[in-house]
Amino acid sequence: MSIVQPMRSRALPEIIRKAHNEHIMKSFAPKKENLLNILHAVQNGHPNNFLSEESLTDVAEYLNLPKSTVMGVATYYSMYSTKPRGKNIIRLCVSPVCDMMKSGEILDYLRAGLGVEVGEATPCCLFTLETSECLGHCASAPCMMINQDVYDSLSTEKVSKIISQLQQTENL
Amino acid sequence: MITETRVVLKNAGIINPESIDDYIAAGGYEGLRRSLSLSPAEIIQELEESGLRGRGGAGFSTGLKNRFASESCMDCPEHYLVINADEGEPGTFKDRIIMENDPHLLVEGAVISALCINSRKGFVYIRGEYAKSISLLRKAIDDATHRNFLGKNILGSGRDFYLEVVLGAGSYLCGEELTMIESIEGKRGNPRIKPPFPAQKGVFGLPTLVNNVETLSNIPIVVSKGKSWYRNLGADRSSGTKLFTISGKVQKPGCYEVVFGATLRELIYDLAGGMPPGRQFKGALLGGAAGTFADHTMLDQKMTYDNLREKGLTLGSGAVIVFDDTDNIAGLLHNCLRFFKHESCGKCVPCRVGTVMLEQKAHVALTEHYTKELADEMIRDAELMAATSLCPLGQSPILPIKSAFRFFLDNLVLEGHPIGILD
Repeated sequence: MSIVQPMRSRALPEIIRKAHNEHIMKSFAPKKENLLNILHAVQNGHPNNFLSEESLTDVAEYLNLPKSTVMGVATYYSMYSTKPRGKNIIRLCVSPVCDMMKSGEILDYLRAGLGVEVGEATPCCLFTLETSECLGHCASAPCMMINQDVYDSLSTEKVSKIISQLQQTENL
Repeated sequence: MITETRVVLKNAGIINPESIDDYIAAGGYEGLRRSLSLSPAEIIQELEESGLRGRGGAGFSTGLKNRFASESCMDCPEHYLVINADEGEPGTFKDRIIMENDPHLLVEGAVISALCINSRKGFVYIRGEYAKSISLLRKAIDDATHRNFLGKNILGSGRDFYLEVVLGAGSYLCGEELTMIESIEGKRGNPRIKPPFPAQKGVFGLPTLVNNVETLSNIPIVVSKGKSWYRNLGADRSSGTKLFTISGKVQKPGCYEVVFGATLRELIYDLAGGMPPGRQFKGALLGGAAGTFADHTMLDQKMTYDNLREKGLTLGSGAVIVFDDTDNIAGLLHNCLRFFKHESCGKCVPCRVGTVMLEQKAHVALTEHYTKELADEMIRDAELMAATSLCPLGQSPILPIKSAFRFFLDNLVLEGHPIGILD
């Protein structure tokens, strides 16, 4: 098992971060019912795909909510992360259909190939491995998502190709 | 030999889902035009008499649900419509198929529904993971607004209706209507005590109608083709068609639309191509994790709301997960219980503790065989949870547990080879 360094977030200077988040948030009215959509947008706008302590403060200020409320929501929903993540988030479906179609083997393959456990990021910060409940592609199980893209009818060969392609794109 | 009857999916694969012109050329928005010439009460009557029932799983009369919401609190400043597109039941992907192939059908159904309850504002609560559905639906809403099927003064009728997209963030429980309402208000996804029902106190405490994507997609068809046409499709007290998502060990897994009344055997063998070569049908999980197991003795049962309920089975969302003689039922049951443990919100103690206990017991049984005593113990635990939990999540584990032991106890006692994906 490889040793995985705890990932550092690429911290932005205070003033830039705040301006960046404000720019993202201003396309939503400052109303509490926009909280989920705002958290998605702020998270997607962070280079490490997560909601930092400072970002949560920015959101709380924008919506005039206690930070505890924002924190409560951010930690309830599984798509939000309060830990820095890799550039590419792999979500492998482990629900009953994918499990029956051997997503367990794909999970073992990804763990070994990337050298990480579920919930961890690779040292190069390129990938974070996560599992997911049913992604709704049961007719072509097993499946996974990488960021917004769906990859289905997975085999270890197919996964290997997808991962090396993403690595190559990064190296260009 | 049965075949598909495409009513809801009539445009799927034929029109370009990004093109509103394609949808209109295929007769789209005719149901809305007809609805604008009717009074809300007339549309509701049409829906009631069509026999359309909620496709999200409960099977409640859609017309009646619209009536309750329309008659609730006439003095309230707003009535809201919520579109439940938070499809998360394992083995279910029918709503995704509708949204990815014909998003305007859903938008049209939503506008007609809004006319019924005099709503000016609706929310589409859609799974955050459904990236393609989200972008297609956003485009459909923009295009429909541009053509004045949505927004201010719809087609010159003096009626307004605005639709907003809210992204879910990975919580299965938010598919439950009152929890979804909490989430729309920007809160954690904890369920509310029922009653009051959403029709009485929903989004921001105001009357709210919550409908599933498939249900709403049937509404333009009922209105444009008429209640009698619609009622003549179907069997027993289940009118119209149903989308079934058949997955697992079949030759042609997929989403199939059939007139109500098809049997489980017809779905599996006529539509999904039967079992892979050399494999024997062992059973199916109907309705997803919050559904029931069935074995070969149930193959000739009609897949209608009432017939399945009489036989102790569920139709649920229309998921049919098929497994064969090589699959491990203990593993499948364990995965369902792991799912409930992961998705329990923790508000009710019986569910928070119970889902963990059940998963542990099922996990032990993966390596050490199930016994009759363990089965009885798990049924007792799950019954206690069902009686004492607030929302459907805590009330659901009893369904797969009881049905698994009902049909497969002998297998489960004999089985015991370890699999299980996340130990």
